[in-house]
Amino acid sequence: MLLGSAGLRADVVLLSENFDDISTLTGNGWTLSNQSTPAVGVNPGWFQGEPNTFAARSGAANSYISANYLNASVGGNVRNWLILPQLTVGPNTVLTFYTSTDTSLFPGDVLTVQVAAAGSGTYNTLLTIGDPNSAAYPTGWTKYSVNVGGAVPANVDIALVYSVQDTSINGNVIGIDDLSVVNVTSAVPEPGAWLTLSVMLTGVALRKRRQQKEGV
Amino acid sequence: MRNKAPLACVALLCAGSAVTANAAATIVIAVADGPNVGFNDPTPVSPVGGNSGRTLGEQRLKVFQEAARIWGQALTSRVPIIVSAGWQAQSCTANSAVLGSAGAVAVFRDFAGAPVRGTWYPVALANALAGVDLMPSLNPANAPDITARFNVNLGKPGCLTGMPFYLGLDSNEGSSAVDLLAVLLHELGHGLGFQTFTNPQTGAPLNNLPSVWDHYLTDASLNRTWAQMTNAQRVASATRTTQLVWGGTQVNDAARSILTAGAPALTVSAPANVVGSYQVGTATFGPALFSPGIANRQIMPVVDQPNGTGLACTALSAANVAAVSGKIALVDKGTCANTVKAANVQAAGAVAMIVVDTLDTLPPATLTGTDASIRIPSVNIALSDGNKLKTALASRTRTSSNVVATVGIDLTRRRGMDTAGRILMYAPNPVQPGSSVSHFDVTATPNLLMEPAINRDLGSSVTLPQDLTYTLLREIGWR
Ligand SMILES: [Zn+2]
Repeated sequence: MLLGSAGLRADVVLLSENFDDISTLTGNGWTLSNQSTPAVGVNPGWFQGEPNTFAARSGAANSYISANYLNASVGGNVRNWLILPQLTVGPNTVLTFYTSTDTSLFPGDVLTVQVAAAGSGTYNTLLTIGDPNSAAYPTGWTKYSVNVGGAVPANVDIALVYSVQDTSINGNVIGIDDLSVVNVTSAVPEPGAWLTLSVMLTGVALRKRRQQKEGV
Repeated sequence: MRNKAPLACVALLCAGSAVTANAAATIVIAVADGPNVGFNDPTPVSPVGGNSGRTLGEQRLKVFQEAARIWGQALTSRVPIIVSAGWQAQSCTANSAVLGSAGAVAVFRDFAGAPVRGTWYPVALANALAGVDLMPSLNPANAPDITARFNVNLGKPGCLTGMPFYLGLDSNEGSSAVDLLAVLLHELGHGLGFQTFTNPQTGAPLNNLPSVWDHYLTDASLNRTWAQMTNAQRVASATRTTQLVWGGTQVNDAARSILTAGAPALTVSAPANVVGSYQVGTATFGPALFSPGIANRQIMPVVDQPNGTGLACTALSAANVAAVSGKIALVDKGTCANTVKAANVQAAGAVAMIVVDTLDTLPPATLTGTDASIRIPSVNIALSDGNKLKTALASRTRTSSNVVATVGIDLTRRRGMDTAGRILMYAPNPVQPGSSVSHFDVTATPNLLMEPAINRDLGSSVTLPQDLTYTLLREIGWR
């Protein structure tokens, strides 16, 4: 299922989350920690997806997790952590999720994937989405996969960190949906590499071509 | 059983005149004024509006006799109703005044003929239900059932300056006088039973028993009558504007036949935790609210202050324009005129404006000001309602929100009634002792006799189709 050629593999799903109801996350071992500065009086932190912003990738329209520039007060800096339950990862453990923002009109949203040895608090950034120096944050649900494992099996903390520098002018909103962590037991991805795949866009293009052919 | 209500009965100085002509109940006026005061004021006056009295005191008494006649005609009682009436100084300023006050002198429970056991009834009603005078021994000649006092200084400098009582009998008081006849009818209404004897400030019922009023006074948010609540629940209920209603079907059926359909409202339809009809103050500028109004639009706040509030006192920034364009703009009160805020959000493309008040007063104040260029409707909401919406708005984006609302006339309501068709009772926040919960709400349209303030357009009727006072008294037991 992941990365194609499923028939050759026996993937083990370590974690799968559709964000149907984010109030259940803490009970399932997740940590939602808004460390933005300055703190805000009315602070939504991570919140259930808003259908008026955009619909979830799958499930009910609000079935995704979201954060926004209002995580910090006006002119502050957002650093809002979404930490997965502690997992034991191996050399080929792949984190996959989908994310999107609302519009390209308000850049400045950044999401990083960071991994630390369990409980160490020393995080290494493995992936940056919306890096101002490279690609803009995607404005439609876009799939990201990253190998979160090391050379030997280890317990790790995996975090998705939403950040905005100076909310007076930067940032808007992001959503995250359909997250999974899978041990891939064969078909090894490039060690330490990460992939960004614009699956939705590709899929659309393929369908169009096929329809055109069928129409002939 | 008998219990003195906490209302003073001053010594009677002079016996009054009985009104009996065509009356189904007899109301006797016991004049409580000394020589040359109040009803005995000898100041010569000219006839006015059908009142032929030749002195100020005579004219005042004729108005009182007319009020007694009107109530006597509406009510039925074999026991004369004795009203101790007098004139004295009442609290006032140049711009506001207590016009008068009245109440039952005593309350009774569990008398022969009492409709509800363990419940206080005002003495005049208790007498009518029992068919006998339940307290004949105090002063057989004229023990008063109702005491009523009126403001002797009204219209003098410092006391609603220039607005004296109008002493005509034709409800033609004009714009610079207060119709005494309406005031008398109102105060007699209280004395006859249009009041609770439960304290709205402490929630404490009189001697731990409910008043007959409390079996009908209902909190819609709790779905309970005052008789069914704890003291703490009653205290909270007393200030729950738009939730405190009359639970009796007679009044509510009648109210539906006379109150105007459609009430100004901010109706929030999403998200679920803030859904509801919010009470609004309307604006003196911009178009009048209409139905359905600015319907099902997203609310977006203006943010132009470091603390996250938005005053909209200057032209909106590009970010704020992007936020409110095509939306209902939410701004905070203060610093500049409401018309300036309206002009700025209108220029940014907003389709309506909600002002969040700095006060929690309910109903929210009217937004004042004049600016003929304003083409969008504006409403004022209470601070706590605004904060509730802002909390829901915290999950917005820079250009859209999940808070969807309609600013307009809510046709599912009548003016002064809730969506379930119950008439609203007066429950201002903060509580107003002596006024709270014992009046109809001020939003009733057309105006009713038993609102907490006497409106200029009242006639002299206490019955349908003009008024609901007698209907309510019937509901608690009067015939
Ligand atoms: Zn009153």
